[in-house]
Amino acid sequence: MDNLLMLMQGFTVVLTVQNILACLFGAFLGIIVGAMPGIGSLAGVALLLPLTYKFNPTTAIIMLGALYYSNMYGGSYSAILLNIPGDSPAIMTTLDGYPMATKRKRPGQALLTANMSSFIGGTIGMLILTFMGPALADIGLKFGPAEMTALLLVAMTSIGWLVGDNPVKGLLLTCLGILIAAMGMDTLSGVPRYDFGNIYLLGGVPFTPFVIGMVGFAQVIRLMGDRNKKTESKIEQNLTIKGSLLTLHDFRRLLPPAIRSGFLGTFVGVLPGAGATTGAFLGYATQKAFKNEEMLGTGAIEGIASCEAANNAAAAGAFAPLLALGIPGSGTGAVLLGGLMMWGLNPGPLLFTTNPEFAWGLIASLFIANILTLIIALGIIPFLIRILSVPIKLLIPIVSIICLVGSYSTTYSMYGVFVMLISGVFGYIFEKSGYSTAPMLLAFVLAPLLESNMRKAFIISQGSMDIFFDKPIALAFIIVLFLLILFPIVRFLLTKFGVLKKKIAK
Amino acid sequence: MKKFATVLLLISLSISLFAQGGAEAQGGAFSPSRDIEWTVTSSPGGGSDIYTRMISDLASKMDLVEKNFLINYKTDGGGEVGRLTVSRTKGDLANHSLLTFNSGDLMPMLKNTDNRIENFTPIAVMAVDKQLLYIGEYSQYTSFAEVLKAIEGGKSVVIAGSKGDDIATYEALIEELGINENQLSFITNDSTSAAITSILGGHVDLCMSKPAAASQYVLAGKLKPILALSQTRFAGNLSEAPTLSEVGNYKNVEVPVWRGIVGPKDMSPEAAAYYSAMAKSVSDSEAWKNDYILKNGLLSEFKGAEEAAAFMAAFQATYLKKIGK
Amino acid sequence: MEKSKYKLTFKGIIPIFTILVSVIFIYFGFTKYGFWDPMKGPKPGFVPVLISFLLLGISLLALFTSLKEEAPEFPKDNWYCVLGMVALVIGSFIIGLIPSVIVYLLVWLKRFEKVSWKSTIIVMAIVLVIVIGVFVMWLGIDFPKGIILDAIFR
Repeated sequence: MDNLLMLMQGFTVVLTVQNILACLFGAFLGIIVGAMPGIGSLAGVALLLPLTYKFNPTTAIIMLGALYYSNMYGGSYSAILLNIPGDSPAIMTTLDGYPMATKRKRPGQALLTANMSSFIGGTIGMLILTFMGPALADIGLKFGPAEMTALLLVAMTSIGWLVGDNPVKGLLLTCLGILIAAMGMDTLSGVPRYDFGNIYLLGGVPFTPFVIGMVGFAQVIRLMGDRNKKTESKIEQNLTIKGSLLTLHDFRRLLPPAIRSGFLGTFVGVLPGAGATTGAFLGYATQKAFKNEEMLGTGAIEGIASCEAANNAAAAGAFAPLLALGIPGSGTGAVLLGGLMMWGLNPGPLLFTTNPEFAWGLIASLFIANILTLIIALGIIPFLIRILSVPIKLLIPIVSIICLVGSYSTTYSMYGVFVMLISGVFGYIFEKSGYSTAPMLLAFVLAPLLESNMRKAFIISQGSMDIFFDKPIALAFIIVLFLLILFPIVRFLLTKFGVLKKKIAK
Repeated sequence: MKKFATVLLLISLSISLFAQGGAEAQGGAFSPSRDIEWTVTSSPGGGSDIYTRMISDLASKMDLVEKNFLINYKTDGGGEVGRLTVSRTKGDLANHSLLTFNSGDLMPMLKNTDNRIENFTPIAVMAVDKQLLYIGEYSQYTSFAEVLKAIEGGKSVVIAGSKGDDIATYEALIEELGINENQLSFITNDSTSAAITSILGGHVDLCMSKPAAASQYVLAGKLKPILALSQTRFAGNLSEAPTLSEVGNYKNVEVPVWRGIVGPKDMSPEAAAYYSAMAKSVSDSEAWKNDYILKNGLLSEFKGAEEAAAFMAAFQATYLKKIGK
Repeated sequence: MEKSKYKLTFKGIIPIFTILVSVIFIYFGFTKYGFWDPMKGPKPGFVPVLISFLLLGISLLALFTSLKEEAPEFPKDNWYCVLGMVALVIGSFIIGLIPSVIVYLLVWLKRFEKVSWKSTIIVMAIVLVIVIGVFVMWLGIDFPKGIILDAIFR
């Protein structure tokens, strides 16, 4: 109850004309930056940070928070319209967002779904943050290396869902993804791995250009085959907001995934090392276990809802350890932390006691940013849809250049562009040969996290496996892991022996 | 046509000559004739970025430099590409290139590449930082003496620290204590905040950190310093931590972390002196002392160009010997 | 006869590639990075080597199953896109990124796609607004200026 009162007080701080304008401005900038492939929230926040120096601390922090938050919204736009994720959390959005926009010809609905789910997920995240912020942060602390290893092993099984019909091909790319992720500096031993003497590879393969290439540029290469087809004129009808509205049925479909992912995402955001990207991945993968009206990957509303809600929720969840403990969960968090400290705010255990107005003002501003961003986002949907009616012939060079410029911006050098180019070609070859790249990308994100936590756990336990069974949280997840692995096997055996009748396909 | 082409060729050649030779025509005191490119080898928003911006902003505000600073981020190869590029910069540009260079940059550079400090012109050392060992709320030890006793008794103790500087201090510590890395093991994290996270959760026994990152946790009572890795005790709320010599019959262990500025090898001595003087003025200013040094719990220790060169060379030699190169 | 030989290579191209990768990683993993430390657990080579073995096995399996499949087709057209990007990259090194973008758009739209002048100019305007407006002016990213421009202006 106390927290609610503090939150209300925070609102009074935020609701001045200047602060609302700052919030609006930050939200607007954030959407644009988020939509640009290559500029994710990290680069966006870092590069726009100096802009905020001109304002007074409270206003600046509010603008920054809005910026960070609306980045999550913007990422889905290019994902849905161009099949190029605006930032890494949006990768999963492309899987259902783009098919829904193009094959199912419901681009407006896809964008609206993404926005609504982002809003729902974000609100859930922030409500949890408001009432349980410090407690949540403490829960996150309990997840040390052993616990994270067990949790991540469970998460890795979710790749199994993504792999789908062709396990061999899916597993192949998963392994390849893990190996590519292993290239570069190995923090735990201080030794560079698989750099093959190349000074650039010392830093490893950067994720964002890799994704831009594999998902985005590969897509452009594929489009070359379609460029002479006539653009469908049916899109004309949906260019208004009216044509983009979701039906009640649609809305009912998106609610359960969004709410589920909202809770899941918040929790993932709190965990050390896991951020919006991991949240989006896990949200999507978990959705596979539930009933979906249309198959995931073909443009299902549930697909978009689950990952978008999760990534916004994770962004909110990441604020818990940031504000309550001063621990940034990700690179973006670190930049925010730096910014906050520059204004004399010291996030940490003392923040809520020494500077409550700031802290609650920031949280209140996130709520406002959420609403404002939603409004702006809804407003520009008709404009965005027009992008789809651009003839493919023209779209190809434009998108190619955006891929080029975006990848350059991630590394401030042509290295990013090289990575994008090479992974683009590979991505194209992979898709053509029937290999889906989603498991590879998920493995690229999760595997390094899993490996480093596992090795840390072993250092603590001095090489013994006991640590995974001694610690209660770790043990709990290991049990879940066994259940998940055994379940399909047991079911298979039982069906074979006629104990379980085979489900008749509808 | 041929005549025209020849004239064109001559004109363009002479233009390029002028463009190159302009600044070098002046002898004696150096003054920048173009914008200064300052390279930072880590991402924007991080510690090095804040450090660089602080210095460049103060230099501009204090009217020490008429030209602008252009801050470039070159993060490829973990920063090695940026360092290599700066070291190889030649000509007039070399007098207008700066690089933020810390001990945490020098060590991996020596270990993983062939680049050496001789390829740079040291300009200044601006600040120095040292580490402490802390215990958390869930720690089973209350003092470093207890830790040593436990190790003697056969238990193993785990320290969480960050990559780069902390490792060197850890290795110096176990060498002085005469124990091996399995008795007192070290977990390298990507950042100090990750290390602090693990000790707050009770997953490791000790945490190594510089004062700045840990100060608020000490204030909140979540961390307690139990060993000062320096020659003298620290000030303020860190003063309760003894140095190693106070704990037992050991010499004090200290591997200072320094933050400096360097230029390319080709930079002229006059230019180096100019930037060094600029850095000194920044270092002496109140704004620097209050807004950077004090705020981050650092120690202001200015070394000018020559002193910095000797210091960095000695640091390099010690480190190279240690890693056996 | 020749056509099916081509198809064979295309079919197995990915598994062959991954087999190569796994062998290289296994070799370096064992020799350079170490496998297991009795006190510290997995060494840097542990996970890569394990995964590489898995990859090797799966790749062999994939190779065999791919022989039964139809070979994927790689139409010539799509590779023009890649060529365009390569040209952009090379151009960025010589004349700088933004000039290369302009040249690329002109060549691609006019000569390759044979688009009208009006559309070409509109596209160029949009691209330049995005690239210069958002990336250069606002985000302050420094694009390469190329060797030639560097030599003249420095």
